[in-house]
Amino acid sequence: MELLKLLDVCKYYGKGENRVTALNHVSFAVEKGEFVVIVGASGSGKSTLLHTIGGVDAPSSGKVCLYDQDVYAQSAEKLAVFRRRQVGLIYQFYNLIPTLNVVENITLPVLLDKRQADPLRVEELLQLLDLSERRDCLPNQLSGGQQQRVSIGRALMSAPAVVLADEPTGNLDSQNSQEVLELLKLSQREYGQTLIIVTHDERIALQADRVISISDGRISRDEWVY
Amino acid sequence: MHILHQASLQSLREMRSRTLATIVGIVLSVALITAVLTSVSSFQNYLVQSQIEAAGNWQVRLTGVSFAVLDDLRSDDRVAATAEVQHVGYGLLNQGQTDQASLFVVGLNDEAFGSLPVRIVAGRLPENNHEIVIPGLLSVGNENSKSSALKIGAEVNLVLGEYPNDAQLPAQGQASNSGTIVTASKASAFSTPIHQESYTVVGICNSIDLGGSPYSDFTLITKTNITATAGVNGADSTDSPAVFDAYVRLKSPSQAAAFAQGLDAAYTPELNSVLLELMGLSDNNSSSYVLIYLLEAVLIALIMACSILLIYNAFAISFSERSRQFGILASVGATKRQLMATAVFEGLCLGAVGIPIGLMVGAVGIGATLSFVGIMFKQMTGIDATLSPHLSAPAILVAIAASIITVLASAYIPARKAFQTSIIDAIRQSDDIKISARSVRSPKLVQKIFGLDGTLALKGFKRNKRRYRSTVLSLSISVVLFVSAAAYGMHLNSAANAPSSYGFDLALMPQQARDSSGNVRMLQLFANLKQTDQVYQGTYISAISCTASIPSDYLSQGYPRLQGLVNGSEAGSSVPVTLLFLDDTSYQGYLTCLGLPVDEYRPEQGMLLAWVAGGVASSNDKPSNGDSIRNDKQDALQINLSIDSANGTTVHRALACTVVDQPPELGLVAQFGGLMAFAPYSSMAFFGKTVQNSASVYMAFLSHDPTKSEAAMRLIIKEAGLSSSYVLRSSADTGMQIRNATLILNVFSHGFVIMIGLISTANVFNTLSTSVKLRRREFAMLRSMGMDNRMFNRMVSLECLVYGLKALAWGLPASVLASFLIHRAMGNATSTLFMLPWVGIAISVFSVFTVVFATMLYATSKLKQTNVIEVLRNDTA
Repeated sequence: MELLKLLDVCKYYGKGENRVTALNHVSFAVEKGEFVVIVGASGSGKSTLLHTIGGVDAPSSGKVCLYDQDVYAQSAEKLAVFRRRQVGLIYQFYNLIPTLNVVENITLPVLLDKRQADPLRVEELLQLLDLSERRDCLPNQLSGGQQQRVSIGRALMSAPAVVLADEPTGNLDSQNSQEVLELLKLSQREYGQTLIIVTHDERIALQADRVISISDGRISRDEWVY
Repeated sequence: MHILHQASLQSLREMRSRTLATIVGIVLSVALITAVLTSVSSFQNYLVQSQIEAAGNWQVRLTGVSFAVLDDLRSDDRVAATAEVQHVGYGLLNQGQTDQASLFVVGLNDEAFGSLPVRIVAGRLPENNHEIVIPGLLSVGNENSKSSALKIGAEVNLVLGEYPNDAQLPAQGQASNSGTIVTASKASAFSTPIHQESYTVVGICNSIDLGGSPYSDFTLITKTNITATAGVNGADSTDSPAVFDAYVRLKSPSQAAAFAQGLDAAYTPELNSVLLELMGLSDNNSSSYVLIYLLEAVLIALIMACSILLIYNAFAISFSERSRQFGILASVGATKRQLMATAVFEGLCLGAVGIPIGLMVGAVGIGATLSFVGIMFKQMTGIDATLSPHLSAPAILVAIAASIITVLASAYIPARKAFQTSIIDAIRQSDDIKISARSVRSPKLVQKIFGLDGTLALKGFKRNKRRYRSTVLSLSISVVLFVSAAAYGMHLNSAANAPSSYGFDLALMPQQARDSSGNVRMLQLFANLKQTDQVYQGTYISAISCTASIPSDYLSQGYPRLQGLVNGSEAGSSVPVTLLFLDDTSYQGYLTCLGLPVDEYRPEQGMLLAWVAGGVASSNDKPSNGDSIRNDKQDALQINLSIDSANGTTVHRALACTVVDQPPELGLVAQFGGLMAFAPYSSMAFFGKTVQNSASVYMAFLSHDPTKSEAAMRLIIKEAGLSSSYVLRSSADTGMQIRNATLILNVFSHGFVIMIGLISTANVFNTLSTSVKLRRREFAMLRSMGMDNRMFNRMVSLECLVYGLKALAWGLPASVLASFLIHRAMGNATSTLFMLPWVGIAISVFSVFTVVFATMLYATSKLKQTNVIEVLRNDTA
């Protein structure tokens, strides 16, 4: 079943002479539960692609569809709800709210939805992420690996259909990197989520179902790993 | 509490110094708004109190009502109190003699003595219905006979009757003008005397002015005891024919119009419209407060603009600093509305702390200022009502509303702007990347002179135009306001300290213009006053207003334009003239001084002297107020004087006039203005006796010791029985009044400017310290690459210098312009040279650099305490 579909997506930055093409007529589809890795050189447009899928950076032209619905055709309000419920975004630089503690950062999407965070779910995530001991800490009291785990917890909290990770291990040592990857794969299997990771790390690419290579904003290769 | 609000509160707590600066900004602006509103409401209250002092504390007046109506009023729930005035009767003083005068006797109850403006000049108030107080005029007598004057302790027997309906008598109002004598034939109007009364004079009072009241300068006041059980003075109330006026004070003054409408029209209910208008309860749209409200609105708008600039800036900084946070929140699904709500919540939180403190600070500050100023105000005006701080609920509510609007607008606008950035731009913090190389380009010269640190400083200054503009603008506004206030103060002071600008040391003037009672006796008084110790010169002036027909070629082009006579007729135009008769000695002195023959310049010889206040026009082109007669004509000016006298006749005289270029030394010309003609007092008869009677008398003296002479003169004036209608003014008093006024204006203008200056300082502090903080990563990087403390300090100092210089480059020319406009507006353009307020400029230059350097020092010292690697690491979190 096709969960996510990109149709002729283009993204430009700047105007006139300064115009930079970040995405150049990109089209592909991703099945539900698939683990996709996007690789490419620096500046090839892979992060832009991820943000476009995640509903945070609108394409200049083309469509991004989830469950056959055009994501960017929705109102700003509905788009926010979409980000809250359907997508979990993980960044290389964690992007945690410095004034909120671990639990608050993790439960943020649910709280923004004006729902009570399910304490069992929070406990489960804290256990899974090995953060139970550090639940009341602020981000600046955590190590890089722990901060990244918090951001993963936040992405998984509302059990979204798609988890998008932008170089999630880029700032971590090899042990932490492997742990983070295991976590993401575990969640993908457990909830049947679609996982899309942008990375430079070949080891991650080797573990994926499918690897899409991007260069100069175009898909240069799209292969399934068996 | 919502998670976003919680996050907001936490970040407010974390950014303590900025939160504090924002709160200080809110406190200052709320305090200023409160101060302005409280000043206005205090001033309004002062006007109401003055009006009550002047015309009584009542809202509705009923005239000519019976005792039954009074009784109804007393039992009316809506009525707080009723001042009752009984018409005791009309009568004649010195009946049958040549100097008989028509009088009106009224009886006041206790409430009336309390709430109507009966003020005792000498003696005391009456305590029973056989005692009486008389108006000042009767204590002086009239010009024909001093014997008619009544003194305290005198017995007065009066035959009192009703005022005749077919009155041939002069109206009471007219009687006040010239001590009108009721002739014997007219006296028969009181042919139906009702009762004879005998009174003892116990005091002298001013004339009661109740705003179109029936009482004249010839109203005598006694006391009546009007009780419900016993009626008037013990008489049976039910069939008492007594007539009363009732002055009603309502529990709710806003109901006055409705109350008056509900009364029987036969009672001729009248509203105290002046008081009601001053209380702001009038339906009248042309309220006397329009100008005050306008000024108030302008001041509040200025304060709000400055405050919004500060508070807006504080929020803008806060939001731009947290834009990454907002981006992250948006990326995990926060809606724009949720983020806006956070901004508003933050504004409300800061407002909740700042507004109450600001209200208190403002109220206490203006309370202290007004208490201080109130004393001087009393000295200045001589009115008993005091200008005291008056907090009114509507003023406080308006202050709160204005403050909330200021805070919310300041939070809302930058928030909306911040949330317009795309989520990914916000997360990446790519704002800085957007600056173009061109916008931060720095001249090669700077690099040569100041080196790398200088170039970095200039680039640092230029990198965020919006931020540096707001800092520079805040500083410039403060400079302009401060220098303007200094210029204003300088002009006020120079006006207050101008030597001998009044032209006299002591002067006796009628309290109201054109008061002309008792001319003959005044000459004697003048002679006595001139003999006073230390007095070395004196002038007696009889002034008459008249008009002159002047040939149009003698009028400057400006005059007809001023008068709306675009084409002055060939025959000539009618110009207002004040004809001043100087005592002969002074007049001769004046002629000698001008070098003119003493015998020729007399109206009897067909000659007059003329002078125009404000200078005579020697050219044809510039119209101004004093610009009416041209003196470039060599031949004498022929004018036709027309004088309206008191009895309605008009006297015409054709005279030749010489226009001279200086007024007589003690001519009190500042009192009159416009075109003035001068003649000797002995020529007055030439214009006829009626004219003589309608002249107003002024006297001016020079003394070696004005204080000593003033005391002596007051004694002489008191002995002469001149108690109410004349006032002795000393230039020392006038000087003190002007100095007081100057001080008051200086207190307010400087207070206002200092507060605005503090707001600006808070703004500059906020902007600069945050700008330094936001660049901490850059600074850390520079230091990690080997920039030592000396270089770093030099870089920061140079940046400060650029801020200061830029602010002064905008502020100083604008302040010079503002000072020049103030100089022009204060009318000193012609008389004094334009002077820059150097002290004010020096202080503002010093303050600008102090504020900028102190802020930078604070911010960078904070920065130096942090660890370089810590900064570089944390900023990626």
